[in-house]
Amino acid sequence: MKKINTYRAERRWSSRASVLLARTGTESSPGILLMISLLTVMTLFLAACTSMASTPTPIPTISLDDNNAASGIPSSDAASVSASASIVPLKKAELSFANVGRVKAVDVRVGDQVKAGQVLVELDTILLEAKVKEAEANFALAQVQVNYLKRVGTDEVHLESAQAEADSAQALLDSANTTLATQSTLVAPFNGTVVTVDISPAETVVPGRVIITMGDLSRFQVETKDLSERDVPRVQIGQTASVFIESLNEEFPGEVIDISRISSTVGGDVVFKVTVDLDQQPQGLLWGMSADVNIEAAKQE
Amino acid sequence: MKRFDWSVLTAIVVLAVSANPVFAASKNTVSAQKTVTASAVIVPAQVAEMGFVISGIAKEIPVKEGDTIQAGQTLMVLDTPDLQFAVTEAQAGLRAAQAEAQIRSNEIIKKYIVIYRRQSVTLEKLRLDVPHEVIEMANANEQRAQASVEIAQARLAQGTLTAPFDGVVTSLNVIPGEFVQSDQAVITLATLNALQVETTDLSEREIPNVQIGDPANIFIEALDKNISGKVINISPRADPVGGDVVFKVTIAPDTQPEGLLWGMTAEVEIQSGE
Repeated sequence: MKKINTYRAERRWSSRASVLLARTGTESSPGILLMISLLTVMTLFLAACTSMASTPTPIPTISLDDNNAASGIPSSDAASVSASASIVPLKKAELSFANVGRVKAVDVRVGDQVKAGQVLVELDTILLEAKVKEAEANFALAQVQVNYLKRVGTDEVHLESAQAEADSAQALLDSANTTLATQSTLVAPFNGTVVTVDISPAETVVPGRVIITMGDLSRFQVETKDLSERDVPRVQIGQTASVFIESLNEEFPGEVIDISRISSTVGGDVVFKVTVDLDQQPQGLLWGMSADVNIEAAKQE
Repeated sequence: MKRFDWSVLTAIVVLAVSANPVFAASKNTVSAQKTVTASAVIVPAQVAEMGFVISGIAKEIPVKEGDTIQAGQTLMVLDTPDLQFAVTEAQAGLRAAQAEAQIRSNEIIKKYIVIYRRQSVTLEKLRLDVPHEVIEMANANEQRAQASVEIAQARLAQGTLTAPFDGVVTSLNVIPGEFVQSDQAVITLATLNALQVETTDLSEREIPNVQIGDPANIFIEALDKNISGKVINISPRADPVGGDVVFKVTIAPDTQPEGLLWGMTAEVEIQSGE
């Protein structure tokens, strides 16, 4: 890790030097050509300094190269298993409506904190409300019939029949009310943060299309993306792991808590998802950040 | 000779001035003030891609692309004669039910009067003698007819698209006479008077330095203009873009420069206040 940091610092340094050159270059007029050439010499001198500062090594092209280095060693000989990973919340949900409808209001924005049961999106409910009214009127009709028969006195069978009709109307009314209550709003299933909002007022929703993603961003874990099938037999639940989070430039201890029971394919390679729980939640962690996981795996016999 | 001396002197001064900040920056990677740069794109604050929940043929489109629209204005109407007739039918049904209720209540009143005149009875006895359920039933029927009218009107309203907010019609994909599928996006409405800037390649390595409220400088290439702004949102989730992990940061410009258009590219420099 140390080495990589030196590369980065070095690259930053040399890029700054060239930016400096570019800026000075554009500002100068043709009248002071000599100064430009002097500056060029100076920049070359600076560049020479940077290359002298450490032994010349190839510049890393991508940030995953330490992982490549690890996979270069025959995996069975290594005492640990490395993989790149990403940060995911423990609890996450992709929410969609179960019915077609037109959006009346979107009550949340990306980044909002929401409570379980809070309304996130409301649909237009004029039709559903009218259907409830109709069911109410039908129930009232059936109820009047029952009351009339009870009052004037009739045989058991007729009364029973009227009562059954009233019960049926009651059930339809309950159904209409439930439809109104459940199909007209999208509510948060748990306390969390709204992560994506893919809907606007007056747009239509169709069943199953994800319109809101939310997650509980108070608790994150780490999921590997490229842990090969060759390495997975040595990984066991309970093994300790160290998680290096690139954007925080810090290493955190963790523990393997889950190994996927089924593989997935990443660019022709068969990989298994291994989940690592962090012993403590670092500050500033965000969903989707990259991490390098190093699992203290058992040596293969 | 004199000229040469002057140049050497300048070079030395430049070297001394330029070398110091370079060294300071390289030694202390997390400096007191850090600038995060990223490419960005201009987007409206609010966009709605609207469609219908029913299918039908577009009949009236009283707007065109570029029109400025007020909330509530009609944007498109489908040709739905069946739904129109259903409303007419339901309204007729309601009138019939209202008349029926009126007739029943008149009959009952007459009956009350007749019974009341023939024998002196208590009001309770009157209620029991006269089948008052008839009027209750007529009232319930009227209510049901009223609900039917509302249902028919709600169905008819599904054939009309109205603007949910003030904005500009930025795209219109159908012409009158064309068939529109349900859930097909037919018209896009956007608030173009409040454009925002969204970064497209701000890496995860830079994101810990960015905070909501940080000031930012926005350079708009097309207009060759610098404007100031402020970070108003940071995406809570990263997006993978070509192998890199990036976070979308939204910046609200302090002013809306003339000629700024949706989709223009920009370069942003965010000054982190740490």
